[in-house]
Amino acid sequence: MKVRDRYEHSAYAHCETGTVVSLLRHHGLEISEPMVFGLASGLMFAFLPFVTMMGGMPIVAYRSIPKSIIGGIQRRLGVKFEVRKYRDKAKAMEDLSELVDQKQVVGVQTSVFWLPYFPREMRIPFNAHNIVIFGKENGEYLVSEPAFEEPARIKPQDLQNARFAKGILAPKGFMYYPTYIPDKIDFNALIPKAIKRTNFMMLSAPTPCGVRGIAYLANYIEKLGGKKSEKYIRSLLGHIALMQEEVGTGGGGFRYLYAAFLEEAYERMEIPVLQEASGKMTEAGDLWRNFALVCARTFKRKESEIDLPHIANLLRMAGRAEKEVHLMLRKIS
Amino acid sequence: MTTKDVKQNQPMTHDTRWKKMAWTIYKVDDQGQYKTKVERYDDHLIMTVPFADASQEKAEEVRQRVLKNESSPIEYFMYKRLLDPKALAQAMGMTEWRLKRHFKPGVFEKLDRNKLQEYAKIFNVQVDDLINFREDA
Repeated sequence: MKVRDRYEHSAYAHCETGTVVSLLRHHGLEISEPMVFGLASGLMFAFLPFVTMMGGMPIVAYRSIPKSIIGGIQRRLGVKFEVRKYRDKAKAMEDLSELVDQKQVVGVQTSVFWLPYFPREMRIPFNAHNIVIFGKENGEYLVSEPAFEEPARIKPQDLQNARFAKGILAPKGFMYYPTYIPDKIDFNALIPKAIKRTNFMMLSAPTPCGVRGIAYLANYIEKLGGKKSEKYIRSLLGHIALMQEEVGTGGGGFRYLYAAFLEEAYERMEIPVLQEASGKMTEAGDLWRNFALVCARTFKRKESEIDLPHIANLLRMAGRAEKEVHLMLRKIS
Repeated sequence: MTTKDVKQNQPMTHDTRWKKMAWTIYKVDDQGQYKTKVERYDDHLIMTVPFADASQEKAEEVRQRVLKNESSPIEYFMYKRLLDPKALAQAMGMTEWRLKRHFKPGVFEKLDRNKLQEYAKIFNVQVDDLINFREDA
């Protein structure tokens, strides 16, 4: 492991892959963000109407559950992370301070609600946000925030609150840093395995997940009319667009990120199917974006008419395009 | 929402905070290659602000009720800080039912200082702001 002397900050599309990439790069492994996303099989779809999150909205996930990237990348690449969880707040902050003094760069799970450097409108109670702590200056921690272009600063007290926020996916002081990186990694052997896993998750998973989940969501949207109030329908559509398009998705609900992974895979392995699939995935991403745009418009313009069958059809189109890509990729895995 | 809604000790203002955010997106360039591109927030499809605004509207509605002594400042600050009963109850470590009791002015008056201190910490206000209801705290 060749650790760099200076930590270099840069902005990333997604917080969890962003921190993992920052940590791995700092420890001398040259890897790109789409590669980490693809290898850890981050792409996913799930619609769970029976589990509600903030504002009583159902969960619509466009990627695998939080923390699965950290686990997945360890299994796939053979890198090892030291992972710690705490009950004792003081001990957690002491350990972090000790690690920072040893010039270790540490990934920390936090709650966005408690991070003072975010704009007020962004500070929603979402507990699975990842940041990198890379130093201490004048009693303040230096934060490499994947959503910001420049490093930020945070007071120890604020950081402690953020690390011990309560609620769903509570961070419980979760922190991690790499301890071992293999000298040689054979990406060409790993990529088909990762694609195979994503294929399985998207095509073979039961109804609320994968491409079946997309069809399920489309049917659910179509049948909403008459059942629920107009206000609820508008905020549900807004919620779907919010989950898909805001900071940390790379746009198109992670589909662009996966397309970038497929393209990089093609550059390494030179199998033509991969390039074709990458192009198709970009088209699927565009369809997803189109769907989100219509949802957002319906949410923002309170007087406009709600055309549910049209919205459901846009979603079906995106789902079909994505299914084609995964069927195409079945050939290589 | 204006700059004065953001109460912070640091000299950072509301606008500079937004400007610091990078909306990284992976996009295809002219040669069909994927490149990261950083987009400014204003040319982005932005949903968070309408969501925040919806919450602020609710806060305003509650403020009227607090002034008429029909609700408690806890409910007002909950919406003002973009929380909902479920999230606040989880953050406080108690049931939603108990939290909603605290929205009643009669129950709110009898809350002890420790409980108010816990609320004040989450809302980032002083305990006095809760008791005397200073809405822009």
